[in-house]
Amino acid sequence: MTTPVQHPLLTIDNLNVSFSTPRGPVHVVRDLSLALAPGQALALVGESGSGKTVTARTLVGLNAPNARVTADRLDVLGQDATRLSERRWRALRGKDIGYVLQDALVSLDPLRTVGQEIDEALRAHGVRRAERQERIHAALRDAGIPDPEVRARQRSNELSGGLRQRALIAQATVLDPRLVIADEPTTALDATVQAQILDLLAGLKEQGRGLILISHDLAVVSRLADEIAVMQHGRIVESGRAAEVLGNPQHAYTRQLIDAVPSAAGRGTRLSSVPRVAVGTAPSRTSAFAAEAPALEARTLVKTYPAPDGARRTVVDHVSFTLQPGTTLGIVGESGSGKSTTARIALGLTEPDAGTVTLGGLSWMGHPDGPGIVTEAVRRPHRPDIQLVNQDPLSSFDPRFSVQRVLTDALDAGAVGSPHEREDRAAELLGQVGLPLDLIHRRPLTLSGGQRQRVAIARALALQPRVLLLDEPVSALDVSIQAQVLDLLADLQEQLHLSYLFISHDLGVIHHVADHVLVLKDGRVVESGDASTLFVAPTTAYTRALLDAVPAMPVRTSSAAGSTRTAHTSEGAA
Amino acid sequence: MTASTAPLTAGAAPRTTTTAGATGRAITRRVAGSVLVLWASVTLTFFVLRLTPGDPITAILGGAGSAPSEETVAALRAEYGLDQPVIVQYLGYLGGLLRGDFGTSYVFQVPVWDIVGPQILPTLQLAGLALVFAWGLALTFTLLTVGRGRVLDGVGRSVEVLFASLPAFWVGIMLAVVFAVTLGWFPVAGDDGFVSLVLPALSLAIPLSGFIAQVTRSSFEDALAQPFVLSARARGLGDTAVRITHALRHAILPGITLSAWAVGSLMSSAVVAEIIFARPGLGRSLVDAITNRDLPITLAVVVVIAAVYILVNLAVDVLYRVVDPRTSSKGSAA
Repeated sequence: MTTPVQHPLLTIDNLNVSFSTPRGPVHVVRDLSLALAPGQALALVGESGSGKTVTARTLVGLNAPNARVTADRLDVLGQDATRLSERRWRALRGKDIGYVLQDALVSLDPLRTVGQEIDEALRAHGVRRAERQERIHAALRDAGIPDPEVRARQRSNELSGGLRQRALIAQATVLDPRLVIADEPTTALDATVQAQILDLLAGLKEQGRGLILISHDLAVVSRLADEIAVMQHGRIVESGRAAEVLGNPQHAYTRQLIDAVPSAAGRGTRLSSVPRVAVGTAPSRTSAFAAEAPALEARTLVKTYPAPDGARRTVVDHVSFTLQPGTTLGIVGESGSGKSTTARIALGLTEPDAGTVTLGGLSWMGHPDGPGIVTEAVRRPHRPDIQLVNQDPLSSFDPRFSVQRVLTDALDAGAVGSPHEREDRAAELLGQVGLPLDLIHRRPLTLSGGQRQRVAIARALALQPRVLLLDEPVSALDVSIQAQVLDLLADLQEQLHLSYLFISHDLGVIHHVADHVLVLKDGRVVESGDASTLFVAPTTAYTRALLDAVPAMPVRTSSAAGSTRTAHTSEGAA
Repeated sequence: MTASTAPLTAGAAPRTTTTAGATGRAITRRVAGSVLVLWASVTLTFFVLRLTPGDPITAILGGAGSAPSEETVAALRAEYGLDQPVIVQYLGYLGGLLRGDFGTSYVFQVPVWDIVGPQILPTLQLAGLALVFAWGLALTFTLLTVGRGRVLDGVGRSVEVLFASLPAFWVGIMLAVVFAVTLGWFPVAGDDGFVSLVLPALSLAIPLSGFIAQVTRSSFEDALAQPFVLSARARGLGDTAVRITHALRHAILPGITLSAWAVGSLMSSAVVAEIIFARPGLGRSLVDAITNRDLPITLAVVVVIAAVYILVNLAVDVLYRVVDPRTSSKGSAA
């Protein structure tokens, strides 16, 4: 008897993947080489379109039919993957390689229960019926799901975000695979849930499995990865031990990704290398908005909704806040904390059961004498003063409108100037958000995520507002694009003296942008105060738990790069 | 889906998919709604038929050729209640319906139900088999051609458009010529068990299958592109298994909704097949009744078709909940 030798799980030399299209081949992965040993975690990091996901799919043989894969060496679990038949691949998938996708809500069949999905993996690999039930429950339990007997009979839409991501991991690991590939496993999750899932993945690694972790967020992978490979345009531009890559990045793109992570250290500094925008002058529109009064002030807001069982659920419970002019108030909370309802009340769209909101000193929502006294007719003339930017700009645009039409439509609502002047103003707005003028006739669908969010910001600026309500404005964006949008928002605030109500579940982002912070939980204000004190010395256990869950980056050793980046000056409307 | 849109009840205790009370209430509401629809269709048909020109007495007396005396006309009017105001006639008709009495045929002078009743089953058999054939064809197209390369995709698409645009009467005549007259595999006409049902059912099913397949194709395509399909493949499932256990279930959902409409329209378009293949059925009765101005039979056929339509919609609702359990849990999960 000999002890088994620790064979590497993956050995890849010069992997190339291209897709044949009617316009010729598109090369997505170029000359990629990497290796993975059991018990190790390798992170592939890069923006969308960098080739991470295609690399991962190549490792389970599930690329699109028009993909062409070549490699000098592509050993997956000791087998030459370039020669594997579909039969052999199927024997590997699920059994020896577990594959975890991003969002369990769409990555598990919404019509089937979690148990059925896990059962499918067992059945595909010939596990006997008598054993299956027990193994389903064991897999769910191992993934940290309480009451597996109950959960196995539920569908993913009936589970909370954390539980359903655990179920997704359970269906990929039920057969004890030696290699687990996780593609953005925590991207859609709240910070605390994200931390739990990362711990679960760390547990898999400790059991001796190899882990490939794919993410656009360096902060997330820094918690887990032994090795990091940074990908850009299909190539690995830098790779090495995690501490080495994060602490002493050699490639400019790696530094850019590291700088893009918003955190306390970055407060007031620029996160990206894009030039500052020049906005010109402050609002010229006349308004009853009092510049010296609080931009937005909420007093003891209460909102209840009827629950399905007939009782009333309190969604917003005595929430008060003050947004001082020219500053940013960050609202933090997990899903269901009442952030969105508070935002709707602040926007004057939902009438609170009790409490009042004033906008620039004017009565805006609710009234001390009872709800409904401040009517829409009173609010209407002041609506331009407060504007909204959503998380998902695409669904807030009419897909048939061009960018120009999106912007002029907003101007039409305020009946500003002649149609011709509105077209000029639309062009000016594009410049304000740092977009080139030649985008003006494009449709939103053809723009990138970052460009769309800039158009959404331009639209919000169209009527020269004093307050912007930013509802998770960067949550759907890659870290590097997020950095550019956050920088843009900082420029606009400074030059237009805007006040921001900034809602996010990402504490890193809030820490970067906010002057004051409000922490919401179950509709109540758990803690509020100055960002500088609240983040350094949180007084409640809940805030501490939230802060602990934020993936932290190791301290940077190179700070010289940052100073050169802040030296960029404005270049106006290009 | 992003964090901010996750369910508000995240982390709550395990919940059951639906409560008995909610389902019971939903069914009660649906049945009440159905009765209302049935009443509305009876009322509308009743008054519309009264508005059409011509005197029912002429129909009762056997057409325009007869020359009855004033006394005969008056006596008949009284006998059929036609001397009453329309509203009284309407209430009388509704009262009769509640007792299951559809009145007396003007033309045949016998209770309407004796004429219409025996016609219901043949039409239901025809429409039912047509629906089964249509689904069979549509699913075959979907499973064989969707996502199987550009050529097969194109072939599937073209055949669907072709089928959907064929008129049922033309299909019926072609089928009769080829399979009944030339090949002699099926009887040309008549009502002689299952064999005689095949061609009429196919002539209705072929155009319908085109419609259903177009809907299932696009949802099948959507389903195949979903991440859960990738998850299933990554568990080691083969292509065929993924198509059948995952994509197909998503694909038939919109088709089920379409089927409710299809059954209703099959009931009325059955007349084409019934006439070409000389079968008994509701469609024939309706056409004959309209040409003869036999109002009681016309009304009865409309009531039967409306009732079938309503029942099928109820059944489809239940079926939809079986295929898509999310539908019934929406209320409690929100």
